[in-house]
Formats: sequence, C-alpha cells, structure tokens
Amino acid sequence: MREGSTAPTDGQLLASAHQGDTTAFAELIDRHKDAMVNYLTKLTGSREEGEDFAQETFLRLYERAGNYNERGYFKAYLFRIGTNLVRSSERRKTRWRIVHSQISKNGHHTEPAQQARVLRHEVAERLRNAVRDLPLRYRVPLVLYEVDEWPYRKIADFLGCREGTVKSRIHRGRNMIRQDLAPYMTGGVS
Amino acid sequence: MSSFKHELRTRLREDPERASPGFTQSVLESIEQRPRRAWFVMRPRLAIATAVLLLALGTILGVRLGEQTPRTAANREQLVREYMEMQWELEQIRRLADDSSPVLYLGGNESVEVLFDLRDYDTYIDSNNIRPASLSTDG
Repeated sequence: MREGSTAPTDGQLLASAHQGDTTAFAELIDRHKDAMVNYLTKLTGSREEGEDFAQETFLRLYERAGNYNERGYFKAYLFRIGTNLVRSSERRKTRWRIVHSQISKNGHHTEPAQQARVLRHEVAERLRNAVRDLPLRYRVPLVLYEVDEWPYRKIADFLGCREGTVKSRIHRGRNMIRQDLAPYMTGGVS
Repeated sequence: MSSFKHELRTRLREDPERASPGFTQSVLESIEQRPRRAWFVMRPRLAIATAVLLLALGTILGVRLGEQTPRTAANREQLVREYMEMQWELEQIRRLADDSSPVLYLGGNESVEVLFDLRDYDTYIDSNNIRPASLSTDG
C-alpha cells in the first residue's frame, strides 16, 4: 500500500474488482505478485510451485473479494490465502507419502535415492530443501521473518499466536536447518 | 548475530524470485475461463456439514411427523372413549341418585337392619301415626 499517495488502497481496488473492474484487479496483482511468488517459492522450495500457488492465491482472492473487510493489512490476508493453499497441498502430499511408503514396504523396495540426493545437491539447493522440509509451523514464520522481513509482532498476528512463540519457532527452524547444512556453511556452529 | 544466522539470512534473501512476465495476464485469463464456483464447491467441508445437518433435521422431522399423525388420532379416539365412559358413569350416578330410596338407618344386627323410609315422612307427620317404614336384610 502506498502511503501518502492518492492511489487507491488495496481494499478499494479489490472492491472495484468485485464489481467487475478487471483493470483494478490487474493493478492489485501487479502490486503484490513479486512478493507472493518470492514468498511461496521460498516456502515450497520450488519456483514452479511458487508461481502456481501465487496464481491460485490471486484467483482465490478474486473469488472471495466480497468477503474482504479492510480492517488490517491486505498483504497479510493475501499471504494467509497462499499459506493455506500450501498447507492443504502438503497435507495431500503427506497422505500420499504415507500410502506410498506403505506400498514400498509391502513390495520390499529399497530407496537408495535419498542418500544419493543429499550428496549430489549444491548448497543452494540443499538450503531450499532444508527450508522446504521444515514443518510449516516453523517454515512459515522463518520465511516471513528472514525473507520478507516481517517483524515478530506482525508474524504473531498473522499466525494468531504470541510473539514469544514466533521467536521460538524461528529459532527452532533455524536450528533444524543448521543441523542439515552444518557441513556446507561457514558458521555451522554459533 | 551469529555467522550462521547471517549466512542463512543472506542466502535466503539472495536472488529474490519475481513473477514471470505473463503472470498478471495469466491470472486474469484464468478468471475469465474459470466459472465462478458455487459456495459448496469452494467450501466442501461446509457443504458436507450442511448436508449432514439437513439430513439429520429431515430425519428427525420425518420421524416426528410420522409419529404425530397416528398418535393424534389415537389420542382423539381415547378422549372420545373416555368422554363417553364419563357420560355413562355420570348417567349411572344420576340414575342411582334418582333410584336411591331416601331411608334413615335406625339400627340392627348381623341379620336384620331397621330403616325408616323418608318418602313417607310427610304422611307420617300428617297422620301422627309413626311406624317402621320398611325392613331390609342383606343376609
């Protein structure tokens, strides 16, 4: 949102979009698309997924345009939609992984790929994976804090928890990544 | 800040992702192509909950209505029957009341009871000739 300008607020643009003004919605997308794609890419560890989720986020936003009340921070509302999409997707993936692992056990398949993958990835990809593999409860606050530079207070509001919880989760997430990346990073032990 | 924290932050922030050039247009086209979904498609859990609730309500109401009709008819029949019985009993009481002889118990023993028939009272008073009106035994 641009403060001190005469530009319409995000809420006003969304209200216009709800009335059928696609130009207003296009402007709203342009305002937030980079932040959404960056956040969701860091959250999923995949550029392709990040962009897909960002597109879906804006579609959902459009569908729910009539429900939005400009009480708070529009960006947080948008990020919440995106985060929920990732969360739902990961739940489905988890179910599939559980089923898949059971089938594998039944079929006595071996999985040497996991160890091989760890060894062949470079630092950047390893970091992406480490972040991606974090449970969402640690990943979301970590990405919001480290990548999008949200303050603790705002993350706490976003997640509906206390600031102390946010700090604790970020710390825990960071430690989990450190364990994963210690051999690759100069500051493996703080 | 520890070197790990700093390095992590730096690496996470480097090369921020940007939306592809056709991003906005792609979203707008999707909006055009995708028909606006009904609420029950967008919120399947709510739809399922609503369906279950409606089903439960329908079942309860159906059962109640099904029970209510014969029960009401049965109640009505019972009321009529009771009313008739009460009318009959009332009639019996009236008849008994009409038929009952106004008598005065004067005394008696296990085999004989002495009663005074008050229907003849006026006659006795007028005639000054008082005598036992009747004898009644129950044994």
